[in-house]
Amino acid sequence: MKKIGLILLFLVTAFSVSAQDDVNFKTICKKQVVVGEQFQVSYELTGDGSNFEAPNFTNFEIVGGPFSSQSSSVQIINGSVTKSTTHTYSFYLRAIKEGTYTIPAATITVDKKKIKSSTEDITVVKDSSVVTGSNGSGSASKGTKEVFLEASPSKKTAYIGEQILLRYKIYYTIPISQLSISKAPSYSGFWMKDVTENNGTLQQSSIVRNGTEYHVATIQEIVLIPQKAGTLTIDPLDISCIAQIRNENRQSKGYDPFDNFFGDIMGSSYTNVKKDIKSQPIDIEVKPVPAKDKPSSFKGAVGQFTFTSSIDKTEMKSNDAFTVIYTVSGNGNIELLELPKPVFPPDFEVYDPKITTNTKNNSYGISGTKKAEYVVIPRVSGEFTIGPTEFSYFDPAKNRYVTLSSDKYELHVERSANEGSSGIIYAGGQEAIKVVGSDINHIMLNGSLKKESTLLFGTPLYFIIIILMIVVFVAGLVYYKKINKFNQNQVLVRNKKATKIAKKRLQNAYNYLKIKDSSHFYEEFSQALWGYISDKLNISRSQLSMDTVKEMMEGKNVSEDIVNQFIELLNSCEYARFAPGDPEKKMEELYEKGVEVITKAEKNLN
Amino acid sequence: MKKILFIIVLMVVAIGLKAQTIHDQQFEKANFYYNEARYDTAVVIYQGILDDGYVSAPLLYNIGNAYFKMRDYPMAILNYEKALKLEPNNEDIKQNLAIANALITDKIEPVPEFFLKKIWRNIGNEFTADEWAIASLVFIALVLIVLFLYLTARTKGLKKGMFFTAILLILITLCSIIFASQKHSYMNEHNDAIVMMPTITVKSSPTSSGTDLFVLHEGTKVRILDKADNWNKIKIADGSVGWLPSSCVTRY
Repeated sequence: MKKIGLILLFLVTAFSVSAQDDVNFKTICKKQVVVGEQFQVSYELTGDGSNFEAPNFTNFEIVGGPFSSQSSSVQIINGSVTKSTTHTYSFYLRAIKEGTYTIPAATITVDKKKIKSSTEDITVVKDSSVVTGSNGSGSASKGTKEVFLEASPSKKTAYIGEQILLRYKIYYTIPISQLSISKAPSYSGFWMKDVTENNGTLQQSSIVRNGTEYHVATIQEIVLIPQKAGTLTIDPLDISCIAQIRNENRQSKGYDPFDNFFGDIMGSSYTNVKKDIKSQPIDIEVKPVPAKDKPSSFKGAVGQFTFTSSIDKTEMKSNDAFTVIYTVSGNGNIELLELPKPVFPPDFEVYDPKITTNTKNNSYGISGTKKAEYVVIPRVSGEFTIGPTEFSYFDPAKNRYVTLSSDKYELHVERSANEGSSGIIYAGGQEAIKVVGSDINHIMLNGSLKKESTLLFGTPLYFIIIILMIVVFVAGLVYYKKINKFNQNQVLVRNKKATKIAKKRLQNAYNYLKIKDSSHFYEEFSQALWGYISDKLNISRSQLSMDTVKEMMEGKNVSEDIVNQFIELLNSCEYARFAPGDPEKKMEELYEKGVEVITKAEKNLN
Repeated sequence: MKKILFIIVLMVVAIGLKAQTIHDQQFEKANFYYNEARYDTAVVIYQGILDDGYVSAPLLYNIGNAYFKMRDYPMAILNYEKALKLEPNNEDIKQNLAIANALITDKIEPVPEFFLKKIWRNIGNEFTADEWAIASLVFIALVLIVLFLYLTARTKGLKKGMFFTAILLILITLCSIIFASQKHSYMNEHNDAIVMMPTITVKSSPTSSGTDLFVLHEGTKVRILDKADNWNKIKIADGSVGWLPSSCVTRY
């Protein structure tokens, strides 16, 4: 745009001979406008200026502006450099009423000087079929009955959530084209969906209204669902179109040979007229759904619906996923309704449902299905029931609530090998203790502190103890040996003396034998024998008896023969004392025997 | 004279008891800080008890636990090993040491031990070094008594019985002396060590220019076989041998 301006400016300046240094501030606008027409007023400043002050446009409505634009050019002619800048300030105005007005001047400061622009006169004319240009667009309305727009709602009163189909129909008797919506209403208080069947062309039909035959075309179909109670107003829809109006009064406007020529060829002459048409505002009465008999499962569904459910399997193993689908289908606020939430048994892992909505538009409004797909994993085995789920809706046609129930499912979950791996504790079976964490053992609370000391082993104390023990052992042994030796010496002495004493006693006995003192003889003789054996065997006299003597002598490896002889001698000694017979001869015999036995024993008993 | 001696003995006992209670109080205080999860404070107090010359397996074990909680696993392992040296059959210490060993970088498969050696070691671990020393003394005394009885026995039967008893007792005594001696040398040698450097390369010779053999990480237990200057010849549980700078390990 700027570029084009630059080129234009370049061309303009190229042909202009006037000095570019002059400051030029002018107003540019149309000379004539139609009531309601938008037009542009521009103030153009050639040169540098600042502080643009806009005038007061009385009698006109400012649609937009000011918009400022700037263009500059540099030209070199015969070595002289000329620089020019153009500032443009534009306003878009709309003429309100007819008459002749003056576009007021704007002021701008150039070189600290305030300069005013020129003023322009403008004529505002009434609606006229006469438009500028052969195919130009203008704004005119001639006979509102030729083209009009009608908004027709399917109902004027509705419940919250009940859908209303709003049709915009255009009625026309003259050909129209280039239909376009210039302003759509906001539909505040409604949820809306444009359900216009847009296949490029308008479906036309004919209708006779008020004695006139009209062509009718539906240009827009909208489904409205009221969201709040009260009287809601639907604002008008503005559309614009080009109407072809037959030129019946062209003679009055002067003869146009071209128009006449083409008009003659086409049979008649038409003028393209731009028409702005509006629908009427509509009031809709919105009622809340009745509170009476409202079921608890009602979640705002209004219309006519069916409710079904399906399950992919009822026999499975634990940790095996299955799918339950709940479907609501029907005619109503399908996109807005809330699906009921089924209740699954505890220990079932339920994922967020996948919700899919499928709608289509028909003559009643919106219909379709809404599906909630639940993926569920039973974590434990057993018999379970997924209870029926209730879904309620309000039927505005019958003016009552309807409650529907889904199927009830009995599930048989078999035990699988990896059951219980998800960490859910099931009361029915025994489970191993789960290690939830490991930690080091706790500190010991009893310090049993000890002063650090050297170990006993290898210390002098250790060896001293051992040496002491050995010393005690050796001392004990030595002492024992000493005692033992002494005792043994005693025995030895007695042993050595035994023969001597025995001989002495025998000698005494022999002396008594000679004087024939038998009682003394026997006494000495038995003393000699018993004393000998007592000393020899180291047995005290009191312990002596025939048996012990025999035993001890056998223990000392004395031959049995000698033992028997000795015992016999001892016996005969006791016996012979009191035995009858020649005492002298007996004594002599006994004495000789005693000497013999002791001599024999002496050899053996050492 | 006797009275003065009695008073002196009483005073010594009293001082000893007082010192014991102070350190026991310190120990309980440290335990309290440990339970409050203020492990660093607990370690400082425990260490104070050690510095005063008191020691016990529970003390070293608790220090190990505090280091473990502070995630200083090499120090934890070091203290557990020290504690285990004092009480080789303590299950708590063994378990915590195993947990700490599972958290360090190096995992070494130990060379399997010959079962007789294991049995021998387990018997040895039943008692402390001092207990074995006392046991050896007791057995020596028993041997001497039996020997005396043998030597002085009058009857043949008694002599025979004493002879075999003496032989059996001598064998037991020899074993107890060997245990005491082994324990004693083990307690005094300090030839086990824990790697304290985050990572260290074991060399083939005691020079930094030696060939790199393998890499060890902190917390790994090594056995010191030999020393040369500032280098230690070490052996790890799988039997690998190499040289390490002695500053990299802490002996215990």
